[in-house]
Order: sequence, then C-alpha cells, then structure tokens
Amino acid sequence: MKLGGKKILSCLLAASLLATAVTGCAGEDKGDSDKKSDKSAMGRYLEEEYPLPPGVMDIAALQKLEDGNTLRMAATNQETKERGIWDSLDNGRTWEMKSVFPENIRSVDKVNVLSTAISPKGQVSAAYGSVQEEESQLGIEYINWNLETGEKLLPIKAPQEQMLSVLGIYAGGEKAKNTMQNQIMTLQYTSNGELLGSDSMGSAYLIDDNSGELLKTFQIEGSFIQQFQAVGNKLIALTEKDVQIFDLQSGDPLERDDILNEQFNGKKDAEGNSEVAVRFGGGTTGVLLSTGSEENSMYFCNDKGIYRHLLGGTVVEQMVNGSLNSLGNPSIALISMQSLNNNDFLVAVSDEEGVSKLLNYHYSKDTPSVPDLELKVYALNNNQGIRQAIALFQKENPDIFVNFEVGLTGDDAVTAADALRTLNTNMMAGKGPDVLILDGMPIESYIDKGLLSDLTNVIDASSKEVKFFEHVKNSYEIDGKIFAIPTRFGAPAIQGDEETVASSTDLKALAEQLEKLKAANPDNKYIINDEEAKSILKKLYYANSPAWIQKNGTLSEEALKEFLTLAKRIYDVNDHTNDDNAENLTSSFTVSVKGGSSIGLEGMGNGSMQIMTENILFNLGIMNSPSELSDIVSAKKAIGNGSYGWMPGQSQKVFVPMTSVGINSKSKQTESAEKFISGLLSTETQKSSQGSGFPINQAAFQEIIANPFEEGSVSLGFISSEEGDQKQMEYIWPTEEEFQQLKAELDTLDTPAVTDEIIKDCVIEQGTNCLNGGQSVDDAVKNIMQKVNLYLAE
Amino acid sequence: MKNKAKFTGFFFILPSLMGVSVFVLIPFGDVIRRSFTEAVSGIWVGFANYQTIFNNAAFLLAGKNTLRFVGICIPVLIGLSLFIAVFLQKQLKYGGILKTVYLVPMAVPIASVVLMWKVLFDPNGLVNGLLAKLDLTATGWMNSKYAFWILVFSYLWKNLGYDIVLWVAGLSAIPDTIYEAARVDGAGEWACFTKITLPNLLPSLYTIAVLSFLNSFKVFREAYLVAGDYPNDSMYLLQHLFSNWFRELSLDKMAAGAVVTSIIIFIMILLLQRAWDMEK
Repeated sequence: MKLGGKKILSCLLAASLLATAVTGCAGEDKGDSDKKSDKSAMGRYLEEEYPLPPGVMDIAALQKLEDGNTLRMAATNQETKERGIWDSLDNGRTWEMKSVFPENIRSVDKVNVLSTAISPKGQVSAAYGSVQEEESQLGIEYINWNLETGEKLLPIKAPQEQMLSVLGIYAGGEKAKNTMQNQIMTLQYTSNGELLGSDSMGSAYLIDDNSGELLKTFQIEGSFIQQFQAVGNKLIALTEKDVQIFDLQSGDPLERDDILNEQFNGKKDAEGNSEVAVRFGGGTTGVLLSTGSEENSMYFCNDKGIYRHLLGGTVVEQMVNGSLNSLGNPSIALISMQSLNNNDFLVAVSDEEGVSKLLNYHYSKDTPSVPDLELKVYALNNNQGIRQAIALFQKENPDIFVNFEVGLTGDDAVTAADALRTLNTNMMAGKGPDVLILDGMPIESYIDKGLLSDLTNVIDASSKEVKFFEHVKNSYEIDGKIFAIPTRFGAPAIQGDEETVASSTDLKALAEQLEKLKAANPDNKYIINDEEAKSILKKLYYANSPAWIQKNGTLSEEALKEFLTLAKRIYDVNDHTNDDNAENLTSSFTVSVKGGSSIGLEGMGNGSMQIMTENILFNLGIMNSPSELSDIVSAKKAIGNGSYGWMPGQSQKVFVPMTSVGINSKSKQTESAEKFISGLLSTETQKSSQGSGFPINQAAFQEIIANPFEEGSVSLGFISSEEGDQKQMEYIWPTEEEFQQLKAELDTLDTPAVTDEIIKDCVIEQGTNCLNGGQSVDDAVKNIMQKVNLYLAE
Repeated sequence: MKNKAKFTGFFFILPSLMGVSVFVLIPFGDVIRRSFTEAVSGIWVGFANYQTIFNNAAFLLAGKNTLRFVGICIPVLIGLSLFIAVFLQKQLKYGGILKTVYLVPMAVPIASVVLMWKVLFDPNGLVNGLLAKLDLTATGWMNSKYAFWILVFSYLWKNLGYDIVLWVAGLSAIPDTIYEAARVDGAGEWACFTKITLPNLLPSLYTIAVLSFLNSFKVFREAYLVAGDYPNDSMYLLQHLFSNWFRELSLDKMAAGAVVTSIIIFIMILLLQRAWDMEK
C-alpha cells in the first residue's frame, strides 16, 4: 500500500512535469490566437483628405466656433498672395471665403505674420513683424479684429527685465546691452475666448485682448514653455523637460499629471531632454493639443496618432493609429487640430514642400481596427524615405498594415552583426519580414542562398509605365533575373576649376592635380573639403572599390596599395598641422538655404558652399540630389570658373546603389510585398525628396528638378563662420539644359560601387590609421588583405 | 523483478533526458539533417556541404587554430595548475590566501578583461608605452602573430584558479597516512609525487581535462570583443567562423562544420576516457 502510494505520487509528479512542459509550449499558440481575435476587432478611424479652397496652400489657424457648426480657418491664398478667413459649415468639407486680413497684414509679400489665433467667438488675433536690419531686431506688433467691427492694434509688451537677466547669464554674468527685445511670439485663444501668448523667453501669459495688458504669467523656473493649450480652466504647458499644468485663473501650477508626462517625457535624449523637445528641436513634426468635448478632457496628436486623455486620469487612449495613415509620415509637420461635433478629427498639416493639407479622421465601425493583412518591412537602420513610402502605401491600401521594423534602433547595444543574426534566425523560422531594405545586409549572400525572390515581373510591370535608370535597375541582375533593386542612387563626383576637373582622368591624375593646386596656392590651408582621413576615404571608396575585386572573388593587393598610396597623397594636400581645429570645415559653417540643400558629410553641398566662400578649391563627394547640382552651379557662378564631373578613380562611371529592396522568398505575403515594391518604384513615392539619393525612376527625376523658387528669382543663403562673419551667397537653380545634361550623364553610369559593409568598414578603418600616420601603407594593405580575404574565403 | 530494476535507472534519468533531448539531441539531429541540405531551400545535396567546408580556407584555418589553441593550452594549464596546487597544498600558512588570489581572475567580468586587453595591447597602449621608454620598437599586438599568445595567456590566467581548486580537492582526498608510510619506507618528495600523488589524482585528471577543454571554447568571448568578427589570422577560431556564417545565413556550411567539430570533440573525449580507463 505504501509502495502503491509512492507510485501514485511519482505518476502525479511526472504528469505535472509533462503538463508544465506542454502548457509552456502551448503558451505561444494561445498568444497567437489572441492576436487573431484582436485582429478581428472592428472599428477604426479612416483618413480622408479634404480639398482646400482654390489657391490656399498655407493654413495658419483652424478653430471650431462656439455656435458648434462653423469651422473657421485663417490661411494664405498663394494665387492672390493675400491672407484671408474662410468658414466651413460642413465640418471642413467645403469652405467659403468670409474676409481678407486687415490691409496692413494682408499681403504675403509685404509683411510676415508670425502667429495667428482664432477665438471660439470668431475673433482673430495676429502677431506680425518685419526684420529691421539696421537694428538687427525683430519688431513685432499685434492686431485683433472680428469680421463685423474691424481691427484694432494691441499694445502688448512682454517683460524686458527678465530678458536682460537671462541674456546676462549667457553673456557670462554681465548684463548684455543692445540685445533683442523680449516679445510675445505666439498667440492662442482659450475655449472661453481669452487670449494667451508666449514670449521668446519661454513664459506664457493671459492677455487682455482689449488693452494688451498681461493679466497672468505662467512661468516655470529653469524651463522653457515650447507649446501650450488651454483645456477648460487649465493651461497645459509643454517644456523641453516635462509637462506642467497651471490654473488659468490663478496662474498657479497644479499637480503634475504623471500619465501625460510619461507620454511626452518617457524617452529622453543624451542631454535629458524629452522626446517632445527633441522633436521640436528637429523642427519636423511636433505635438498638437486640443480641448476635448468633456470637462478636463484633451486630445493630443503626434506622429504616433491621436490620443485622448482626461487630465488627472490614469490612462491615455489611442483614438487614431498614426502608423495606419499620413500622421506617421515623417515629412509632414502638424499645424492645428480640432475635434468636431460628429466625433471626427480635423488635422491641418503641411507636407515636405510646405503645402498645407486638411486631413479628416472619421470613425468607421465596419472597418477592422487593425487591417487583417500585415506586411512586415525590415531595415537595419531607420530610413525616413521608407517611412514616407509606407505612409503613402498605407493611404492607398487601408486593408494592409505595414509594420516597419528597424534592427539598429540606437536604444541598445545591438551591433549590425547581432541584428543580422536575429533577422536570419527569424527568417529561417518562417517569422521573418516580407520586404527587406537590404542596405548593410549581405545582399550577394542572400541572393546566392535563394533568400530573395525574383522581382523581374514586378519591375517589368513598372517599366511599362515609367523608364528607369537601366544600369542602376540591373545592379543585382543575375542570369536575366533581378533579385534586388536599388530604389535610389548616388554618384561620386568632383567639383573645382575647369582645368583641374578636366585633367583628373583617374585617381593618380586626381592626386597629381590636387598637388599641383596646392603648389599653386601654398597659402591655402585647405585645398579639398575634408580634413578627416575617414571622411576622405569614405568618399574615395565608392569610385575605386570595384577595381579591387578580382575575377576569382579575392581582393587585388596591388590595386588596394595604389588606392591607399594615392589617397594619402590626396589627404596630404590639406594642411594637418593644426589638427585641434580639425572640425573647422565640417562643423563651423552653418548653412540656411531655401530648398533644403543636402549637406551631408558625404554629399557635395557643404563643399560647394566652401568653394563659393573660397575656403577650399576642390570638392569631393557623392552627388545625390538635384539641389546639389544647384549648389554646384551657384558656386560656379560665384567664383566665375567652375566645373564638375564624375569622380575619377581606379574604376570609372561608378554609381552607389542606395535603399536597395528585396522580397523574402519565404514570405507568405508575396502579393502585398510586390505591391509595396511597385509603390516604392512609383513616380509618386520616388519624387518625394528623401535626401537619400536620386530616384531610379526617370519620371520622378523629371519632377524633382522643378524649380522650387519663383521664376526669375534667386534665393539668398547665409554662411556664417565660427568667427561670426556672415557671407551672403546667391543660390540659383540650374537650367533645364543643365539638368538634362546631368540626367544623361547619370544614365551612363554603369558600374555599381562595392557596397559590402565588411569590406568597406575594414578598408576605411585600416586606411584611416594609415592616412593619419598610425601605420604604413604596406601594413594597412596587409591587414586589409588578411581580414577581407578571410571574409571572402568564408 | 530483474526487468523492473533494469528500468528503474531509466526512469531516474527520464526527466533530465527529456530536457537534453528537447534542447540538445533533437536540435542536433536537425543540424545533421541540415548538413545534407541547402540552407534556405532545404534541397538534399548529399555530402556537398562537407566537401565545401573541407575546401574552405577559412574553415581549415579556424580548425587548425582551434586545435593548436587547445593543444597548447590544455596541457600547459593542467600541468601548471597541478604544480601550483601541490605547492599550495604544502603552504599551510598562506595556502588559503594564495588559493583565493588565483581565483580572483574568475570573478573579473569579461568586459573588464577586454578593457584591460585594450589598455595593454592597443598600438598606443601601456605595453607599447613601456617598450617606447626602453627604446624598443612598438608593435600592433592584436594585428600580429602575438595575438594568439595573448589569447593563450588570457585563457591560462582566467582558468588557472579553477583548475587549482579542482586539483586541491583531489589532493585533499589522498590520505596523509599513505605519505607517512612511504616516508617511513624512505621515499623522497619526488617518489611520493610520482608514486602516490599522481596515481591518486588520475580520477580528477579526466574531469579537469574535460572541463578545461570545454572552458577553452569560452575564450572566444574575449577574442570577439577585442578584435571583432575578423581578428588576426592566428587567433581566428571556429567560433568566429560559425558566428560569421550565421550572419551570412550559411546555415548549410555551419551545420556541416558543427557535425565535423562534434565528431572530433566526441572522439577526443572518448580517447581521454579510454586513457583514463586503461590507467585504472
């Protein structure tokens, strides 16, 4: 009996062990089925773009009036160049112009309006000003009016003592004199029609809109109020550090709302600034706040979507998922948001070209809350261009949810190799992404192993509609099949005086020409635009790397040795005796140019500016946008004698494949993945300026070369040096002929650069050490050969 | 009744066997299967993957380096640790403190070891600084043939204390009375060591050799963290190769390499066991 009891106990233990094992394994399945049931949940806000009145391209303010039916908008009509007021009685679907702005601030060309606010009662206030150059001050005046009674000036004076004291701190303890005045920069109305404003010192005020008197001050010691919104009788203030709530009547700070702080403040940068501040600093997208329909309720909108929160409450509810619509597009900037009576949200945004759009979000109870189809897109590094493309694709395909995963987020210590191993594990387990953004990945290895699907059909279908840059399109063609395609590309280029450019026929000739330039200009500290060895090597790498790979797949020691020897000669044309100032060329010049010139370290933009200001004589870089040609022709005009050409190297006519994409051959969403790739190659996606290369689609190329400036006008840019000197430069857009010549030349580029990250990193690491004098050319070549040949042998 | 007794042992190891099966045996079976197929498509390729790896210069180099590393490190570690253990056993006064001193490297985190390596062997590091003061030529240690010996030294330094403790445990198990009896018979220190200590330590030798062998694979952590995926030729080990193959999705070659390596390790352990059995 005793023995029997033991047996039973043993059996029970064994059974429980088995049960634990089995249920442990089954856990994941259960999760999956939960997911499925989540997916079948219904109801989602759908996005619809409402048309703006003809000519309206720039929305300044949007407000729902207290009658509940009228939406009022302040905007600019670019056709008439006048500012005006429009009303809508159908929640923003159609608009009717009600009036223009008062005479003195009506014309866009004559006066700059900094901020416009519309009260729920219909009154409009504006802060406007103009640069008074002789005093270097921004004079700001204020005006308010309603459509019936006409306008009146508001004499609002922001406290000046505070401005001086703060400036005094910056000036090293001594009070600065003749400094700019503290002024109210932004205006806004509360839901009761009271006027609020914030000044250039980061304080907010309740303002009497009759007398301009400051009634209450909302200030946070040591913090700068960047954005504010009145919600009921409370004021929500976003600072660079946190979210502070004030009582509107008393001006006293109220209890901290932890949930709101967690939302805005959870992610901090290295300096401890909140995500909100980072985004504001970046100047792309920000956060919009809006009063909710219930007491103490508010909405906020950012790139993640639209959220609802009850002040003091413990939850934040996502109303609109930004990753399913345009809100997730990194190129849009938020202007204003209103929650409407029909429970819709109306959000005014501006796109990357600064054109305003009105996006309406309407709740559809018959639409699945998350689309049934999920398309996984994976990239090693974050790619704003792909995010833009996803937003466009999402808009066109509301039934597909694109899940964009980034391997290297920067939030952890994951290396590229670690991320690739994780990716490979997932792909082999059948849980991998559907679409791969192949930059930084072993593309050839993936093709060899059959991991990438044949894209020939997709590309052929697209080719019927548009023309591609053929050589770039066929970068990864094997036996007539295309397994991956670069969606963008760059071209290594040089820029300088005509003779030097023409005489630089290969890398050796380039080194000789630059040495000749140095001999002719011995007083010039810098001849070329890079003083750092790493930066020079990165630029020279692409135009030379194809020559190093031999037919048997190994590296050519001779070619590599020649490359490093000549790269060292090129590096030495700059004077490196004072390396403490090594960052001079790359960091001390700030450039502000309309049109968004690309001045990445590997681009041509920065060098062009320096040629223009005669800091350097020759520019090396990777040309990857039309604005870089604009930089070049502007520089050419400025110095009188200039030219550009493709970078002469050990290889000729090289292009750099960028943002290459492929489809995982194990993907179960092949159709959606192909649709996504087609979208990436479409003119609409390709024309968006992603700052990451020329589009491969020639129709898109044709569109992006359109002059962003008004016909006949030039844009002025300012270059400021470390010493504070400002140089004015004339920024001109190339002619159609110049662009067509560029296009024709781009079409001749037929050699893809070696984009293998292992080879590139190894050459640049060892080469940098060599150029800096840390090792001889022979040692550097030996080290590179050893490591890279080992890699190639694997 | 006899049958019952026969199965009792099996039931005792059943839970553990289940774990080993799920986490080791079954996955290894899958590795064997994959070694005969293509990486992604799973198409049967016979011995092609084995042919590939035996013609692969990187695999041959890594295999050679790994064998060389094990061949040098294990005998040196076992001999040195035994010598020190015997010495410590005789140090009645400071033996305990010295044992602790030898164990300290085991407590040093890998990150600190790697930092120390970098401080010492960087081209601008302490060792080169010292050489410069002595008017000697500086060397890029981690990019030279010395890299292998730095790895050997690191392994010995890290594992010496562990092996000493194992030897000391073996030594403590030898009764003092045997030594006393031998000394009465006129045996000297050397005779006592060869005739009493060594034979009595043989059971420990097997365990220590296998543990040292398995620990030798862990030295990859230091090598990887200091020199990355592609270190100097001399310290490029099988683990580097496997790690890189995994990154490149060369699962076919990796599977074949893993099977070959497992067979070699298995044979080596069997040989050790055979040697041990023969000595017994």
